[in-house]
Amino acid sequence: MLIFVLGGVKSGKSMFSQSAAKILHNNSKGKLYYLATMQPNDKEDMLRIKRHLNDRKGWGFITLEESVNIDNISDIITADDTILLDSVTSYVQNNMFYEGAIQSLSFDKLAGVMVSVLRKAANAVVVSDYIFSEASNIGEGTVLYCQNLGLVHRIIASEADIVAECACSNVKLWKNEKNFSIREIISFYNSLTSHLYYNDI
Amino acid sequence: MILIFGGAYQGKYEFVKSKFNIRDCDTYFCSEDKSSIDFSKKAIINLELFIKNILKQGQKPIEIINKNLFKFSDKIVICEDVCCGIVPISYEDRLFREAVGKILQILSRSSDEVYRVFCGIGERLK
Repeated sequence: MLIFVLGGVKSGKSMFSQSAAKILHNNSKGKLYYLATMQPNDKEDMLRIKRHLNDRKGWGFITLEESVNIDNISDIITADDTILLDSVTSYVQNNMFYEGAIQSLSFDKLAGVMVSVLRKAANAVVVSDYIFSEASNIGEGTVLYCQNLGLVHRIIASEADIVAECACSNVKLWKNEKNFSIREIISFYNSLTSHLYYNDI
Repeated sequence: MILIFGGAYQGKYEFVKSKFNIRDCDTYFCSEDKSSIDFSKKAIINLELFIKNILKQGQKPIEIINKNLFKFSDKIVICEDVCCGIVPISYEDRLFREAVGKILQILSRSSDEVYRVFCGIGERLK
């Protein structure tokens, strides 16, 4: 099962994805992995990571870190495992802006490698940001980044069994051709509330 | 509570007016200059501007909304979705976006009905 989860900032996508991975893992035998792809640049990133760590504390995730080459973790994953990748956004960013320069890469190939590694697991949940509704003039490099990310999204979505969008903690399924039931995941996700309460904003 | 959100200029207010029979006199219009909401009105529009005002004052909008959540229980709340663009360059803009996103999640959880308005069309999400 491959689930692709999209959403804007603070849409509930990470928490929904964690819920999906947890429920899928409960119904299988293998390990539960969290593949973190972000390379923290500043205090704000560290805070974000701290929040995410806090949000999955006690859930039983084994954290793996790989920011540029997902193939490096390929040997770890077995056919019984469940893996959550958060996020495609930072993975594409790390590859495109590797070592401070814009890399000319084949992003369809990059997406293909991602899917083939993730497909080794029984279940994979992949998180990405929907950042394509932008009014500001964002500059050439960022436009190129959006193009590449959009391409990667389309490839993952075409391979995924389920494509879900989180919007203000609501979940909309854009694709579910095999009609998998996500009722258990949704009801588990709806029972979670602690992530909604920040004490800093 | 009924929550309506969507991008700018998508016809959120028009949708509310026709679907829920709301007139201007039933609506409280939030603004960047006002730090209060008139809860005697049936509908509250531009909640994002209220959030911006609270942030400008160095206060915590998520905390304020949570504390006053009960006051929204019989309201129609309309808010712009500002969460689907590139990460903004300025820290204040990033904070604003995150606050709006989190507040929309909180309101949505407490709402009986949730609609996203896209090109004037209301899609019911909850």
